[in-house]
Amino acid sequence: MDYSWDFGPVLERFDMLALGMLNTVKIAAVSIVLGVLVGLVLATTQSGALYAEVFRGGIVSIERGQWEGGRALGMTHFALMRRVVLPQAISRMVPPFIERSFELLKTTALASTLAYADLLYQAMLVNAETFRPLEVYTTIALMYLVLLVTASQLARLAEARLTAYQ
Amino acid sequence: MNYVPDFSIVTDNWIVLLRGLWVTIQIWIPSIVIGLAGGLLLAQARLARSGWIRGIGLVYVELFRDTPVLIQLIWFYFAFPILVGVQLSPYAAALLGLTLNTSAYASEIFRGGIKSIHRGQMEAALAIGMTRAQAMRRVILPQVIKRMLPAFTNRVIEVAKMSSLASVISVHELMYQGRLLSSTYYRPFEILTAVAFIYFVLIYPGTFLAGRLEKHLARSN
Repeated sequence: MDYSWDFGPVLERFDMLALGMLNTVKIAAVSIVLGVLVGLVLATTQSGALYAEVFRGGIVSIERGQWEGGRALGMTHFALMRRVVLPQAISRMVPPFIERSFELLKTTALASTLAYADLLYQAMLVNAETFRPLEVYTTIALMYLVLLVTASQLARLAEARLTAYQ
Repeated sequence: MNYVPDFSIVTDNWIVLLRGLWVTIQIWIPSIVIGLAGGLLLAQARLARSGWIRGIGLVYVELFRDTPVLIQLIWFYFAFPILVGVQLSPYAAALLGLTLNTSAYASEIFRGGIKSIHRGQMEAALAIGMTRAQAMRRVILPQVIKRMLPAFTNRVIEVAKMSSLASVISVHELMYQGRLLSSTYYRPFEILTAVAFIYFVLIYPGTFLAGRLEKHLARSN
């Protein structure tokens, strides 16, 4: 192979890629928050539907005996939810929730096809300026790798903390 | 809203969409078949005794799991040819990307399944004189496949959805044809709704049959 690697032009334009990374994290955060809100209310939009599944799964996994016990004590449905079911259900929802959010972070790359200035979009701009697709796409693959491995480590930490009592 | 939908352009151009659907299937099925086979081999590497082989397997799997699929496809189409000096066609790049991606996820599914089988099964098989390979083939893997069937069918469905990303590297599959038509006729609503409907019709029976297959196999439990 007689191709001479040269990351120089790519690193010169690293500020463009950093902007793209920031926009990626922004759109992922907004999508997660909106998805959670939408998932709680309706199951429209893809992330909303996925989160709705997670919430439903968590609530359904609480044994019926809890509901029956609460009813026997005279609690209303709302009070049962608030005091008995949801505290337990939320703990069980955490792992799949984190998994879904992780996939959402990866899916943000698709936003580039609609001309949102995420990391992939900025990479295409840098590529148009430097004509070095190998270095550019390898660099952003590494950036995504760093971003997602960090996110997965944080997720593991969060999961350990939030499900500790089980 | 004064827009009047006119689905006649969809029916007039159904053959374009059909051609796209055929290319989608040409990406989807080979990726799954070769990817699952590759995943099995990779799972063996992940469970190897040598730490080096396990490490290489781990790096491979993490590379494919911690990068977006679109990045992988774009890398294989634009960056990889520079590395090896051979220009891949868009179809070849998409096939390569999706196959390797599927093999990474499939290896994790196989690995989890194999580890969930009781050690005693392998020990008993070795005790009656089977080689490891025979034990794998006759005892362990049939159980693994039955246990991991939901995860495998999930993968099949995910790859069908990922095939639409190949349109970004100009593979002439269903999404590409849809975008082509919608920009030709300036009627994205009808065309893209039809495309979404075709994807749904393609994928939903798979979901349904997968559920039936699971129930059928679970009867023996």
